[in-house]
Amino acid sequence: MPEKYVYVDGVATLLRHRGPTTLPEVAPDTRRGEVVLFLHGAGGNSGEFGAALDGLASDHSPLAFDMPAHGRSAGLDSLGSIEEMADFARRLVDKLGLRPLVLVGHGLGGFVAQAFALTSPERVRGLVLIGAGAHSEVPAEWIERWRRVTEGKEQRRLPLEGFAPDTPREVFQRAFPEFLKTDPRARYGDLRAAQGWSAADRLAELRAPCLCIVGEHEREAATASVDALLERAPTARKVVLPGAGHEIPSEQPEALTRSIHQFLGELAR
Amino acid sequence: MSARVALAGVYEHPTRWAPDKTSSQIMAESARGALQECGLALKDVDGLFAAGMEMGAMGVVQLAEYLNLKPRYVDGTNIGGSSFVAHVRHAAGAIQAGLCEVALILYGSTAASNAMAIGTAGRAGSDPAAGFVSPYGLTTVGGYAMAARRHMHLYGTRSEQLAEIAVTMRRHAALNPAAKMRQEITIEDVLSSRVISDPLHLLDCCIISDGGGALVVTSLERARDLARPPVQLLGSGEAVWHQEIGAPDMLSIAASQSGAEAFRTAGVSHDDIDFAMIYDSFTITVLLTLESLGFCKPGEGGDFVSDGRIGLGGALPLNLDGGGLSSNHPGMRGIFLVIEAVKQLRGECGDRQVEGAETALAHGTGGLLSTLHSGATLILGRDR
Repeated sequence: MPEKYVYVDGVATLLRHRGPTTLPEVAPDTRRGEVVLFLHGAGGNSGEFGAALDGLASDHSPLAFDMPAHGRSAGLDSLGSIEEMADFARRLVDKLGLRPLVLVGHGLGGFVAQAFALTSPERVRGLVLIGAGAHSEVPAEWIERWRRVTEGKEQRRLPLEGFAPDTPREVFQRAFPEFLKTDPRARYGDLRAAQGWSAADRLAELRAPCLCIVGEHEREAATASVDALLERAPTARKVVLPGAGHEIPSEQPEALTRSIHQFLGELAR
Repeated sequence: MSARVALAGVYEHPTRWAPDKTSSQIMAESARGALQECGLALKDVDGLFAAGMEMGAMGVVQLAEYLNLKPRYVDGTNIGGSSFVAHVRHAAGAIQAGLCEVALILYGSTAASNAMAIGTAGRAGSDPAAGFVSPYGLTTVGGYAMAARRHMHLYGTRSEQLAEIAVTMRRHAALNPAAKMRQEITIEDVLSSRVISDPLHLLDCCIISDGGGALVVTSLERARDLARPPVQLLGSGEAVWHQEIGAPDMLSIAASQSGAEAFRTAGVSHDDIDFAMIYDSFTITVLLTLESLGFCKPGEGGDFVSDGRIGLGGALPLNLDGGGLSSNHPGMRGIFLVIEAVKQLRGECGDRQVEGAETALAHGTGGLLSTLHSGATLILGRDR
């Protein structure tokens, strides 16, 4: 799978794309169908979207990148706020010279996608939010746990809360090595950035069509936050994936890709 | 020593996480930094010295090709993390013998972004003794932990005293904008961090980062004509130490040999040393090295590092950059000991500057204390 580094404000940013590889400083070809930019979740990286990129590549131009300090991008700490992350994504889009695009955000990436779309509505054709609603509801004990990990008081363990009951072993085998690629400090910073974030007051302004994808086993608080978004954003609708939890890109990559593919087809009409 | 030799240029690569670079690239960027600093170019280099985590037997040859360099003197000595400290000594010998004039010493590694498990990995199994040790699961950190436990057993050294070293290094790192870990910690933080290999806690262990650096060594005469104030090599020593566990003694380390030779050749005493750069792979490494270099007697290390003696403003400030415990540790760290010592002696370290520093000691440790390890010591001084 083609990967390349794009320098955004001097930060070496890992970009995954499909189609032919390109020389350094040359953006990948994004002429096909919709341009789709994937935004990963807290402490995650773009590796979780590999199957989705594969599934969309024949009809569209999917791209995914690692936020600074995540996965294989440079940087030591989380950008620290959802707005900073949206700005960073916008600068990456500028650097690549992308036309108006569809943002797909998972968890915290979904907040980043909303912040991007609300600030630059003219650049966003559609939103897909995976397990992300109008506001964040990070439990305080998660933040405390990751604070302890960054201070060496606890061992870092793959957080299991995001996975549905009876998740097959292969899913963990895919998710675990990706989990290890990000320093716990970045995850801690992400969780703190998400804490208390809300777009609820601004969602009435959202003009782009919005698809909310939620797992059947998503935590109650997160599902409620998605319902709050549906109440406020007139352009939003929801699909529930049976058997999935929060880690949908790892748990059900095929079902996720089908939902996105269908949404992109509707945008074109 | 016959003709005098000096460090003319140094460069510490600012990166701590470079997933987009190779180790060769970090070395090349570092080479450019050190040469530019002193007003030299790659074409002036006729001696190449390097060692690395990612370098094989032909590593220096490949590096010369990468740099498009045809040196007339090469040295790929790899004695672990102390290699670059020893390279300075080797370069001095080569320059004095007329075998080269401008020596470039390089290190670069992407240990962190390659997710190398350095301290917790097993002992390499090629030497004869390893066959008897590896099956029992000795790790790098395990070797150091045994020495720490032995020191506690014999002398009553306490974890709080080891923690004092980690806390001091972090305080120094907080003054170094390039350091990887800059948030200050307390003794309690060290003691409550999880145990990696008893009695060493997570915060008793160095971090793993990406990074690299470069040194330019030449004759003092030539260095005086270059762009930066030269730092003179006053004395040096190197040593490799016992193969077998416990022989002759877990707490007797190579620094005792290399340090004695460095002091002898430099003709200075411990009181002349204004600050020291001591390899800090683990807190116990610092404590044992201080004892073996003769800054205190065996068993006194715990008291020596307490009461602020090793902090900025203390009697013997150590590792002003924050050391491997907090600033950077890309697998092998010796080169940074020399870089920081040179910058301090030039007086260009800002908030973390040791005021009026004239003479410094840098000591690198390679391998595993308790078993197979090496030590290399330099004594450096301002050009007067």
